[in-house]
Amino acid sequence: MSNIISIIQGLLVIVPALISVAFVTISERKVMASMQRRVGPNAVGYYGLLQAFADALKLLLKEYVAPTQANIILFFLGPVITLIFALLGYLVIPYAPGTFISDHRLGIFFMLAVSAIATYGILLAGWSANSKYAFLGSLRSTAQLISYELILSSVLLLVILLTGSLNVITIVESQKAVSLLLPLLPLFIVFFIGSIAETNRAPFDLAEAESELVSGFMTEHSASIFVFFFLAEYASIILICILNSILFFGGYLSIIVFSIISLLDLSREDTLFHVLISIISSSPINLAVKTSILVFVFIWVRASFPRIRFDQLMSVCWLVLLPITIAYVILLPCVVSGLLINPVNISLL
Amino acid sequence: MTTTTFFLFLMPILAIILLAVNLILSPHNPYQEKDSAFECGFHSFLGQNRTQFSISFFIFALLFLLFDLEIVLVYPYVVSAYTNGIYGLVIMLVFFLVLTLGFAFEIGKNALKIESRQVYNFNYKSWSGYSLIYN
Amino acid sequence: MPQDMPPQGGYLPVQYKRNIPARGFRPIYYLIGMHLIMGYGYYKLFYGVREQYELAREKMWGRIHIMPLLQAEEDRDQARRYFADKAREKELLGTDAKIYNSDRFVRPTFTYTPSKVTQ
Repeated sequence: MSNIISIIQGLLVIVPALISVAFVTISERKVMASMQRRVGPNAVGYYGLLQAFADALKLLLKEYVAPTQANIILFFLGPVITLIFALLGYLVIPYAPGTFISDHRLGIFFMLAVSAIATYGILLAGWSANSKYAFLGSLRSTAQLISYELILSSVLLLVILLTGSLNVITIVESQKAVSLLLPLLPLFIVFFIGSIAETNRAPFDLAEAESELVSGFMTEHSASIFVFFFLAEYASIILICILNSILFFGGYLSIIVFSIISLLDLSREDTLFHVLISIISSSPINLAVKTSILVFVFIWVRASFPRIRFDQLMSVCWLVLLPITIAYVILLPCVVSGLLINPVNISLL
Repeated sequence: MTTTTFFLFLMPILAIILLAVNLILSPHNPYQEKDSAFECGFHSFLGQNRTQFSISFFIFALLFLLFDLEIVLVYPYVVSAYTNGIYGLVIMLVFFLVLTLGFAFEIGKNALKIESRQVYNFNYKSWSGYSLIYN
Repeated sequence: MPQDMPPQGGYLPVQYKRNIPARGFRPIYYLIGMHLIMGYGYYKLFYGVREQYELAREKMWGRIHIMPLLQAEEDRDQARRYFADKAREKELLGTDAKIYNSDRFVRPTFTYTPSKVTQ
């Protein structure tokens, strides 16, 4: 019985995740089309809504090409690793109070570790294809991913400094006072830039710069293994947008409702209005809206900015973002200790 | 079997199912030209792969290792800052400042610079202010 | 006929950067504004963490105050287990068996748990 329940729970998380990946791809194409004054996909389903499913089905029925000079096992293993570790991050996401698969104490570490291992998939896939485009693409991608992961983990350090826990749910719940966007405003900007780069999105998609590297590390990949990269890329976009909204916008907590509560000073707690408020203030809809807005910003950025050069990419990471982050890593513990607001982890007392 | 365990197994199963569907349903009709490495010409050259690459990638990986270790070593401080107090803060700051000095040394040694041919176009007098970022 | 060659010393570098007129405030104002927002954030955070301290203090004192109750619960449970154990041993052995060669009460270092987990 409990096995069936756990299977249902797992599917309840992963099936909507995959469907949302499909809809993010279609929304990306539609949004970019609107920004470039064209229609975009509109043939399959209403307004082209089923385009992504049609594409996925078509790709699954395409012929796979296994290049003779490639290292076949690694060639197929690389995309599989990328997909697995892009989707595993959904394990620790709290969607609403009590709605999560794993309430792990080190949930944030788990997410960091999983997103770090996904780098190996790209490295293996690019190296094993034994094509110079794939090789250069994977080298670039690896260098980019590890550099920007440094940024992400050091910003995460400061988030944890202000929340006092590595548990994702505690991080969300401790934002009832103020969403961490306000005290960590510059670091949110750094984190957002870092997350665009970490997901290999334009303007940082140097790994698949079409003008120089054909298709980067997935030049040789076709059919389902290409679908794996595709799924992994968009799944990690959604995942990192969820992570952004959890870390800086209060996750499933509604900032607006909390500010209304604090303004109105609702003292009676038994009214229907109060019950409604408490439902709205922490519902998965909040997380969905925040994540959708962030995904839109990802697409917006892609439509707006031209691709930068690789040496600029690395310089921006190491000479601009990292010094800023290090400066705040030195400054903010002093501020927090000076104000005597080191957070205390209630659940451990 | 807990849900977490099931979830950890579900992902590989999903990937294997998708791969199997593709391998079973799709046509497979290879010939030499199709299976050769992609190239923007008629023939691909085998000797060009898996050779030397720029040392910068290696240096970045090395520096990433150091800095990630540094960040990971500071994590225990931030989760126990309430218990550690000022003493822990000072120790953390000393540790971090030493590594920041090392970072400044790396920047000074131009270890974080990738050679680019296009850079030299920026050696204009009026643009020298951007040299930190673009140079 | 001389070939078309680049001028002596090469061409001038191409200026890729556009000279767009600066819009908006000077950067320092953005920096100040950002830190003002951060300051407001820390103001809110200060009261949030103070409330958290208060909750933590309340939880700790709550625990301290129900400690006698918890101790009584545990003692009662221990006694129940002890006497049940005695009865079980008597049923198995027929006599009151002593494990140790003294009449002093030795706190059991083990408990019997039900073979089938309910709930």
